[in-house]
Amino acid sequence: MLRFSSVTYSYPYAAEPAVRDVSFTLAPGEAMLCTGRSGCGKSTLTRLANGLAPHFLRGNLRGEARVKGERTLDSTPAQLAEQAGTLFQDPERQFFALTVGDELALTLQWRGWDAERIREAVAESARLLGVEDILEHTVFGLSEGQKQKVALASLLALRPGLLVLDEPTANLDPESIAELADTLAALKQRGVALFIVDHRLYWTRGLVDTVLVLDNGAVAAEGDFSLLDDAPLREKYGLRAVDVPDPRASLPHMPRLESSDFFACEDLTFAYPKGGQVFENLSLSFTPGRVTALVGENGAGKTTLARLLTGLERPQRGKILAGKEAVKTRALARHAQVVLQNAGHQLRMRSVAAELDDAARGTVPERDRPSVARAYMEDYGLDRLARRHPQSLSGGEKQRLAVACAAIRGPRMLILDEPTSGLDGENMRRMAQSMRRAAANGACLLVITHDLEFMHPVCTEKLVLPEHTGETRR
Amino acid sequence: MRASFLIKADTTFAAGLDARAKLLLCVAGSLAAVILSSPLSLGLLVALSTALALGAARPATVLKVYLFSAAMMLFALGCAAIIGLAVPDLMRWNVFSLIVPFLRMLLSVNLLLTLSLSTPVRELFARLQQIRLPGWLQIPLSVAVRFIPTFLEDCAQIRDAARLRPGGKITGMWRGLAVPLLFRMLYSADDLAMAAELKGISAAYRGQRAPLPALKTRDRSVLALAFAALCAAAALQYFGPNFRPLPM
Amino acid sequence: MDAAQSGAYDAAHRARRGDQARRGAVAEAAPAPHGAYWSTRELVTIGVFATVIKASTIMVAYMGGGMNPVTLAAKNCLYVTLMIVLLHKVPRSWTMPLAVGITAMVSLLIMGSGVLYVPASIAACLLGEGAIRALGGYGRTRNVVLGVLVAEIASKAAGFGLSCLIMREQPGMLATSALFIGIGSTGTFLGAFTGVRFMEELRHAGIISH
Repeated sequence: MLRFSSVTYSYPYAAEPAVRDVSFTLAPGEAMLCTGRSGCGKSTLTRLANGLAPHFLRGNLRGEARVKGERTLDSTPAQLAEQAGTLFQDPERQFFALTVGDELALTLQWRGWDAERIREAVAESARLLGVEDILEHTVFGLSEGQKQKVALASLLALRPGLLVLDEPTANLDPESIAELADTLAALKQRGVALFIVDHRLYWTRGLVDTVLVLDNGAVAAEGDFSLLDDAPLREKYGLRAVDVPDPRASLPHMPRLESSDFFACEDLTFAYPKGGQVFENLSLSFTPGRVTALVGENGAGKTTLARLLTGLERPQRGKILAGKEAVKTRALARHAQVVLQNAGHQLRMRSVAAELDDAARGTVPERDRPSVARAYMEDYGLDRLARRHPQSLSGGEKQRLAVACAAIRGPRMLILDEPTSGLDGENMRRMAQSMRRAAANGACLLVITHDLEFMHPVCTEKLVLPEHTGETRR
Repeated sequence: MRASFLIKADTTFAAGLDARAKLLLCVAGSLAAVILSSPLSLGLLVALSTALALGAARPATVLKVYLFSAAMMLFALGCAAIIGLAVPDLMRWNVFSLIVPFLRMLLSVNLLLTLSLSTPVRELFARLQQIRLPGWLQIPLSVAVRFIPTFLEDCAQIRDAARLRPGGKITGMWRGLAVPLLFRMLYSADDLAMAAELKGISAAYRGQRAPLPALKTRDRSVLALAFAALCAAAALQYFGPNFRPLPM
Repeated sequence: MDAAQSGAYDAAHRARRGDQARRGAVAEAAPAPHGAYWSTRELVTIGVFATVIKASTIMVAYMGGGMNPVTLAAKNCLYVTLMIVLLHKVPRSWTMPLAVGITAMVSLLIMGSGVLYVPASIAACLLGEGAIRALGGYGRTRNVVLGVLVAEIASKAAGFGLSCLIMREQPGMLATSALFIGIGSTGTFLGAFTGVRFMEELRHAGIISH
């Protein structure tokens, strides 16, 4: 179904090839996992498989990639998509229509299918992925798991023989990951070949037949899944764990304190203007040096709590206290910081050094700023990148820089929203180190994460938000 | 994220009109606003278009937009008065010279309110796909309509990020908002283009498309009424009373 | 960082540089498929920029209440900045008229804007396009900046002409209109400066290579 023969590919203007001399074969009904540290060339393989490289991205290709026996060079990406559907990390970014039904039909419409055929294909793929009840829903109101399913259904409407999945679990919670694994297993049973690129490994055990470990663009190791049981190999290539315990049940609850002279909220009541009540009389007290996992179902209000505690939302009632003093919503950024899921939005200066200097403005005396910024760069492993433009950094580097920028302001409360989404094992461990350091420096950390592998060694306790009740169990 | 970012009003009279009919009304109304200068003609069109606007949005919304427009007009008049102190010849105040530009503005506001507050993005998107425009016009136009909710979402996130690191100065605000926005859109354009290419967008506008649905009775009736109103307004302009500027 | 880690880090960094090249520079010269003048990637980029140009300038204008001189200048500054970046990202003849046309249509269809400004703004940027060609094409930043300025000035002149038609009974208000066009023009010239600065920044970030 998919065959790479001595493929070497360089992006235009790049000094070195992104992948070099890669060969493998994937038969119908087989699944292959490709992993490796960030920037090792995994995503480039997906772009070679779906024809975006070199048709769309240009560059220099040697060797050949074939999909269903046809050279990818001989077909356009749109033609190849009929044989090889590609699922991106963030499905929302690949939606073009505004409702689920339209999204499933759009690709077929664009290809000139007649209305009856479209209806049949949409109904079949919607049934296969279990999204037939949400065909009228807007694509933007779906959960991440549902978006993933809709994107998959849209690909399957073309009935491709190969699915190329680029970090499909990066935004999913453990339950949605398990569902995705089941869906993919069912597709594999139907003869669909799967080429999966991911940092998270544990969910592919039992699903994939072959594992390809890439390093610096070349195949470093190849074998069945048991290859990844080798801990030194995982360490060497910056990979994540293969067995991940679920710490959500075993983590102790955040202790209930009557009051805190560090950081607290009292009787917070909040409802969105057109939504239901999210919190009613919520009181929480936080202690310094702790890393608390904020746990709850989708819609429980995890992000809303983070926004309230950092002043991005104003509660209808109640107050937030820093050192027993009630702080106005507008002034909360001085005491509480949040690193948003999309760290790139928080970076605005021309270099990493300038970014930290700017973040320290107003909280660190001007004469100390350069030395403090330097110290943070060293602590967070950013010193080699001091002159790089923040927007040119990799995802992991951006995340670390955003955390450093938040920490340099010396907040009492530091909240991180999915800080490890899309990070490889090495960067995930660096992030864990950064968070422990911030906690050791006296901040209280609240982490919103679906990443069990990250939660397990980093979080010391949990705060559970039950769905829709507005109550908080501690 | 909102799919239809301006409205949720598919039960109003104007929402039942076809987007093409509303667009045609906008074009005709804007041309009439420029050509006509009789307060009676413009008053007639404003009255009819107000009825249409009230069929698209709540009266409170329409009133807010009117108040905003009036405030803008008063502000402009205030500035004009100040300029008039220095150059008296510029300021020849009279009732009709004040009313006529205001009526023109109200006419445009009414029609644009009707179009924008009663037409879901989804309908515009569907119509765009049916109209036989060349691909080089259709693709960016479809992308533009599609990208608006994503852009609004990105803006909200960037605004939050800027609030977390208050800059205070204009340069800080500029960098905090404009720089992340610019990079975000450059990356989004790439992601969206790749998705579009794989979905086959480049082939989409070369093939046959479904025929455009015919206008409904409601659309035809409103267009006929609009045509009659325009004829009446033109008649009032040329055969009605002649309003000459009167000194105040 | 030990030597092995450092080596791996360098390798990852090199690969990322390639990724930056993929993200930015490539689009500039990507071939148009099937004989079309613009590639899909370029048309999508034009669509995205058209939305952002329109939506962000309207948002800035509304923040200031419509006639706030600071936001009026900022709106023009943002418009010119984004247009300069777009013309570097898609450096092909007719990109500016297409982008302006799409922007005008978006504002007409969705955000509420005078119908008559559509042909006026397209005519203005045809003048800008002519200026870029006369200066030697899209290859140089100077040509692009001057072309955008010509288009902007022509568009403001056309806008003033329309104001003359709409407010012909009240010349005093035309003076106000001229005053605000003047304030907006300061933002236009500032935008040329910030546009060039942004280009330098995008080159530093590896997003655009020329």
